[in-house]
Amino acid sequence: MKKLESNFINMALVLTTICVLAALLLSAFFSLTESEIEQSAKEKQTAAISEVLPMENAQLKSEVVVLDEKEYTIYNAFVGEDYVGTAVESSSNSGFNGLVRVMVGFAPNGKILNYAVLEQKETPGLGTKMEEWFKPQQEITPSLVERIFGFEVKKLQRESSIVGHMMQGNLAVRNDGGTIDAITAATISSRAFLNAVNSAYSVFLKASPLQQKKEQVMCDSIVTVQDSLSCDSVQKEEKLEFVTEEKNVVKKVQKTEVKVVTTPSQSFEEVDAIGSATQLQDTNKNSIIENTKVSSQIDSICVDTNKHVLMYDSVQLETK
Amino acid sequence: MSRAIKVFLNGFIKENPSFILLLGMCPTLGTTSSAINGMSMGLATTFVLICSNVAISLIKNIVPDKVRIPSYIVVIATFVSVLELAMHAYMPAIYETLGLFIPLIVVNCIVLGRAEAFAAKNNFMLSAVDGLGNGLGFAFALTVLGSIRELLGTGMIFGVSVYPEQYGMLAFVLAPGAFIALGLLIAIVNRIKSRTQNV
Repeated sequence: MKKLESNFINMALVLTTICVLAALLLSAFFSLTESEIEQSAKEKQTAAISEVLPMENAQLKSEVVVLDEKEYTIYNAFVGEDYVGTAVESSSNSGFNGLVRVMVGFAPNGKILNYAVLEQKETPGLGTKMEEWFKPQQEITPSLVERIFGFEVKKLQRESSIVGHMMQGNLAVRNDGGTIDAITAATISSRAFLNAVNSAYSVFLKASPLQQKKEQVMCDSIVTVQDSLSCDSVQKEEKLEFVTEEKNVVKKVQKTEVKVVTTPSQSFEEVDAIGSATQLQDTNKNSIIENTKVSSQIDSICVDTNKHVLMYDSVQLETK
Repeated sequence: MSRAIKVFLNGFIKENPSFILLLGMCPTLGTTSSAINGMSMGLATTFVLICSNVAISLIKNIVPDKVRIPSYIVVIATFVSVLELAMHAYMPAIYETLGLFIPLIVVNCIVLGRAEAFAAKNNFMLSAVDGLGNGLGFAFALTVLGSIRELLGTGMIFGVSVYPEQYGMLAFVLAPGAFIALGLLIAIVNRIKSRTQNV
């Protein structure tokens, strides 16, 4: 067969035919893979949620929250009636190559349960380490050289895990005065990641069911605080007395600076946080409240950035 | 048959696109930060090369000379889009790591180069073999380069730890390491080539 001559009609005809054929092929292939692509994106989402909220049989309620003109999707998890945690999908645009999308799981008290990186375009081998770096350090299998020659190189220790971290204000890398070790040679990626986590926490503070309740507690009345106190061991008559005590102090607590020592517990099932208020100081009068020795067992405490107590459960006060 | 073997070896060794012809340097340098990435990119390009070579050798006679380049590009772009959709659907993990480089296969000079230099002049069987040879040669080169960079940079090959990571030379994972490693590899290949030619 001889080659077609390059005249106008031939050229237009052939190019059009090729383009139409290509378009047909592509559209056919697109409709073939469309559902598959959607499905794999959805699967990734579900896998990420179940990774960051490790509860069995949790019911998820998704919700869209707007914060600083940005939309976030959150998933509140309930086991039965109980609220057990929130997964927040958050992102940061300040990565080394743009967008970093993460899913962060929070326990009701603001502790980070786990995280998953949904999308990132960081440098392979450097910034991409964020997928593991901020989780507790794993036992690394010894390298071939070590196994063959039978010696062991001491692994570098790092303090970079944010899993199990009790959020109190923003996380930052050590270079910026924070407490988290940045990924070696990928500080910008680390910053972007922590930014995403921080905004996830802001969204969590704004939108989780318990936080909304807490805000109510703080603004409305002490009566609500009573409700949430666990008074199992207190007799009914005493409870009333206890509450009045409570009333006085709690009012002050809200205005005062409280130093709170929290020890994040090891795993999620244990007590959320154990703390002790060491000193209650009334800033209005600028004096330590006398006659009141505080020996408090705080089961769940929520502290804002300036370490002001917003709300806490189960407090016992001893009056001298 | 012997012709086919010759064509294959020509693409794979004698005119290896990465080491000898230095074609397609952008994906070569960009995607070889690890062995597995280099290999996936090489195999993706192989797929496009075979398909486009076959398609172009089949349509070579009905395409007028003056519009052959746009026609070939449309054919190549179609196969790349098909590949991209397929990878997105069935291999999301690899799709994410290769990301931007998959659409860039369209402008990879190897693909258009083979279409022009070989597929437009030969039958579709030989063109398929030529695509396979060149593609695998490219994949092989990318895998070797990726392995070297991964080994020197992170102490691993295909994710298997060879020596402790903290002794790795980070530069090899980054762009400068790509140039250095590729330069040294080409030097070695040239050395071998001049030796075998002298004998």
